[in-house]
Amino acid sequence: MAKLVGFLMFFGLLMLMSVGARAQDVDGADVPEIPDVSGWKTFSGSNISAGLPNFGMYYLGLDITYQNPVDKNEFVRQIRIIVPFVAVKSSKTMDRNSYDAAITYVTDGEERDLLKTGLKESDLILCIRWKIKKDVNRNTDALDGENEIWFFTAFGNRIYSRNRKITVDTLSERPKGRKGRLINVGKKYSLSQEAYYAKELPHSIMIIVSKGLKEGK
Amino acid sequence: MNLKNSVLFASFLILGQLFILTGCAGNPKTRAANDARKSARVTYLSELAVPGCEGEKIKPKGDLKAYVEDQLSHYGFFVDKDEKKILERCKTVGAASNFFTKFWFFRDPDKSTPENEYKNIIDERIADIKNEILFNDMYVAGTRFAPNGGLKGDMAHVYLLRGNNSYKVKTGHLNRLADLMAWVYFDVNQRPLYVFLFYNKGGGYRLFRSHQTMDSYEGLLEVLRELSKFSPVNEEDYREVYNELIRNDPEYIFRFAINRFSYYEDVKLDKVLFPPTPEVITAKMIQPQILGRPDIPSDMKMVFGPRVATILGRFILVYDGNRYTARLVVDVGDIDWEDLGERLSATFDLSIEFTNEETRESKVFYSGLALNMTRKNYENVKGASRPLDLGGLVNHEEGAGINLTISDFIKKLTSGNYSVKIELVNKRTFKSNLWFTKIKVK
Repeated sequence: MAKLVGFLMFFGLLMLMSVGARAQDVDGADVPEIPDVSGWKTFSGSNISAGLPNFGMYYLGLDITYQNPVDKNEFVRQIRIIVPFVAVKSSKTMDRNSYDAAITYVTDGEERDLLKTGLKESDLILCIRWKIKKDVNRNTDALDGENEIWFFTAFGNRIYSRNRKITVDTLSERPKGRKGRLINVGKKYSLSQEAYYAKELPHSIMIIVSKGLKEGK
Repeated sequence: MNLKNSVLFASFLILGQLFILTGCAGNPKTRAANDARKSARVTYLSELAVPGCEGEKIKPKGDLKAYVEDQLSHYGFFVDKDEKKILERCKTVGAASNFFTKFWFFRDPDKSTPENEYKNIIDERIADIKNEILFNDMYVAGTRFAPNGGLKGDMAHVYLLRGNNSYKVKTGHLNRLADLMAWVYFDVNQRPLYVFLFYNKGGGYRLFRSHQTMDSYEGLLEVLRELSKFSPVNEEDYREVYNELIRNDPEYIFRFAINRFSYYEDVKLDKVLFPPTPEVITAKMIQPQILGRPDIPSDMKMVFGPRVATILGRFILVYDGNRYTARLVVDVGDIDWEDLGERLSATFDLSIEFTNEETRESKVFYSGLALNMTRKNYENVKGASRPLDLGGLVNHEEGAGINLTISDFIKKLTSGNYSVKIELVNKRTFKSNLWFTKIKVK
């Protein structure tokens, strides 16, 4: 069971809903209630974040999967967006080769607190609910029924759908005044060309980042 | 935990196969930064050369030899080549002791406290090793440090530098394949940051260092040779070793660890096991500077929109057959306002990036948008989206196109199809939105 759950968690946004069934989009007042996960167990969680090479980390939100404590085959994954922020760090703390060599008892206070706050102070933009069941023939787990999606677009629409593919694109930009490769600055979640939600580092912050990179911070 | 971590691992293993990682290779350091680092290193080493530890290298004897050997048996993995050279010049126990006092002083992450928090952690790890903490570990029960090199073995090397990890896996005693054990260290995003693979062909666990893909026939044979208890001589031998690996690797962890050391390309085993420098140990004491936090003075009153991070609305570029005009369709109730009493005010950064779909050349229109309205008007119109004409905004971005309106800016673009990305950010609260559209410039 856990293997399938893990598979779905990390590939979920790309393949969860692409089972070949027809789209069943609903919007407006007909959208069913979003699953209430209060009391559910946090199955996994990660930050939606990326490194700005030799500069720091930026954070856009949280990606959390909950498991129903009553029916352990039921899962809900939430993508929550926060006001983006950049933690400008010493290059030593950015080096993953020495990531945990330093002791952590007093580290990253504000950064950690902001992420904690993000659990409450964030916009839910995507919610996916699915169930799994035992596939006896293959001795593994399989998706049980349809997946359900609640998607909140950049325009304020709320869409409910089943068995649809959500595409996740990484938004990238070339820091101003710098040649060379692009750096990742955000994410775009799309249900279709018209139904999407995107978030990236604001232009004003990118100017500071570009300047920092130029000066070798 | 076991099950969950193995699931995470399996997922990232597959991800690792699918994606070409961009990594974090970094930018070239400036000469000034390099000079400063070298200078700091020279200063550090000169301070470490305490009185009695200068001059020529000596061969320690008696108490001095016993003292140095004892220290290095505990802390040897933390002392690098340059530091060892200084230690080798210490002529008395007192001088060597002063060397280590200085050595740990530079590694004290918080000098305002009497204890050295970093050394305490290392001493705790040493105690763990001596107390054979892994013997009762739920993942690798029965594993001991003593028969595997003790404090000087590969297992201790990893444990001393990285501590106890969140997930381990171990095979039983195998016939042809070396007994395998992997220690997986996940990062905050639950990605396998370090995966240490140990193998035991009978002489104790050693660290696997020659990571390589098993996709090629030669690579596969080389790996199997290294991990075999007996030298395979023919294809049948190799097949049996390989089958034993497959059978004993249901979570795919060992094959991942053979292929690569980390999910991240920039993480290298030799760097991870290098003695951590004082800068690394104390770096985290420097709190990161945070960019992008709301700028709301404590005495400022605000009227907030319902969303926490998003300005809901729609940005439209309308073409009337002659020129484009820009409109923002928004419900004033979805905007964060500064409450000035009778009036409400909000300021935004607006950037519009036009990317020519053929040449990929980008041009950015950047402007500020200031909205003002009476509270009465706000109460009357909130709850319904209305279009705002942005025709009066002019470009503030330096370069060609400065002071042009959006319409004129678009007119100046070379003809072609453009992808347009629009970003609106509230300057006070940093709530924002991004919209994408396409236009054709004739």
